[in-house]
Amino acid sequence: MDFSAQVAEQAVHWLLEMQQGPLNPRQQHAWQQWLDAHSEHRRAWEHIQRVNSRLRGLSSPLAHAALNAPQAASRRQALKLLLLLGAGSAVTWGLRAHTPIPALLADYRSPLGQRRRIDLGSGGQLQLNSASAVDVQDHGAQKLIRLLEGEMLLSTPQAVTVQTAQGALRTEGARLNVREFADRTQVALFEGRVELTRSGHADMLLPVARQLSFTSTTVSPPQSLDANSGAWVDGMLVAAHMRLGDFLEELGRYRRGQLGCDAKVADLLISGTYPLDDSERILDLLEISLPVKVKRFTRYWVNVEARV
Amino acid sequence: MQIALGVMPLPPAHPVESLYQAHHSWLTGWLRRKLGCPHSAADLAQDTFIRVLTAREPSVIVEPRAFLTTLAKRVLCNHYRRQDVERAYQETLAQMPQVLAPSEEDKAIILQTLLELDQLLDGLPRPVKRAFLLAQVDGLTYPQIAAELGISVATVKRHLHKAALRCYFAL
Repeated sequence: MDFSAQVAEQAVHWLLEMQQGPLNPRQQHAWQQWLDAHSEHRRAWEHIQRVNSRLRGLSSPLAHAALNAPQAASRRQALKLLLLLGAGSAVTWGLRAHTPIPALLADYRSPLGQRRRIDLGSGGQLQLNSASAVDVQDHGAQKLIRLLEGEMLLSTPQAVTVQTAQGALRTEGARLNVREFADRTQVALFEGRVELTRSGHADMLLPVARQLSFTSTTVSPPQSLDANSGAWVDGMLVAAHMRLGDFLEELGRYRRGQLGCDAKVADLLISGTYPLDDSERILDLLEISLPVKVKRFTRYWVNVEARV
Repeated sequence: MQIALGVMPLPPAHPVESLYQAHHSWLTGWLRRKLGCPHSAADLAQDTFIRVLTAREPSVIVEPRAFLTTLAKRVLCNHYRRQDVERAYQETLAQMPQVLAPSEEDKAIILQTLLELDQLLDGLPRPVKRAFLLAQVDGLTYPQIAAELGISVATVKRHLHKAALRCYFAL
């Protein structure tokens, strides 16, 4: 896993370019050419993505506190006496040895807080919600979409199989919303035919206009569609007597940082239609409509508490 | 510290093993005097010999004890730095409202990642580290980072370039 300094420089160059905003078509082309030019380029790029996925899992306040940790006063003097080493003691252990997170190498990926639309051809369309990832494969007449992370809405006249960690959904001319949780898949079927297949279990036809959750061994009873189901496609968060705790958890999927809720106010109920693209405004509105106070420790660390 | 210029070529068969046998208990004693704690001293002595094994240095060692204390000082410095990082981490965690705190499982992963990251970025100036965290952990744009740190966007870019080479490629 050693890279030449030249490749490292190039990979970092592209990373910084991308962080400054979307590449224009010419840059996009140049980046793709660089990526395809040598397997070492691709490995270096994937390495960066893997490290970044670990960094994204860090908590902002903890990361800033830990890396700015002051030296314990009692030791400052002792260390001076030790007359230590130069700065060049960085070691390359650790970060490289960890297993890749497959979602980072996905065919299509939507960043946090953004939605993405993918044209499947023949009138089929796939939309990805915030922080989601899919692989798309063509198996002759059959398309296979692997949902690696997050949530997607599929709308297609073709036969498409959607694979999640818990099972496969064979669809035909269907419109459905599929969301991957840590331990289960939730599926809402708006129209068309969808069959759930899991190894070791009989196939099951899903009822239309219903939603349910499944694991590799269990299926929950179907329920009527929830008001919020698929609303994200239009950039909306729809609450109909939703618990505030659940509402904030949902809103947290579209924001960076931590969005917490005190137990005292978590059971308050909230209703309304909220535009997802301005979550700060939604938080401001909460203070007007509910007896709560939105406390901002930092921009990325917000807690909703009871108003005193 | 005085380094004598005698040269001791290690026997080719098990160079580290003979070094270990000859100096392990002496090194443990040296570390115990620095630390005042026998358990940590034994652990750090092991870590020091692991460094000997992984060091890509010529197999000719000038003054084995001076060589070992140089490595042991690095190990010791790391040990102290880890304690500092862990303390800052625990203090911040304690101040966080319960609902915002990561799960028990995540805590261990986060601390481990932070320790590794701290080590990788070791020696970089503080603003460089902060700019890197603001970009990669908080997801700020360059102008936002510039505003937060009170520096120019060009400087942000230079900082991130430096930190990225270090963090991803240890350069």
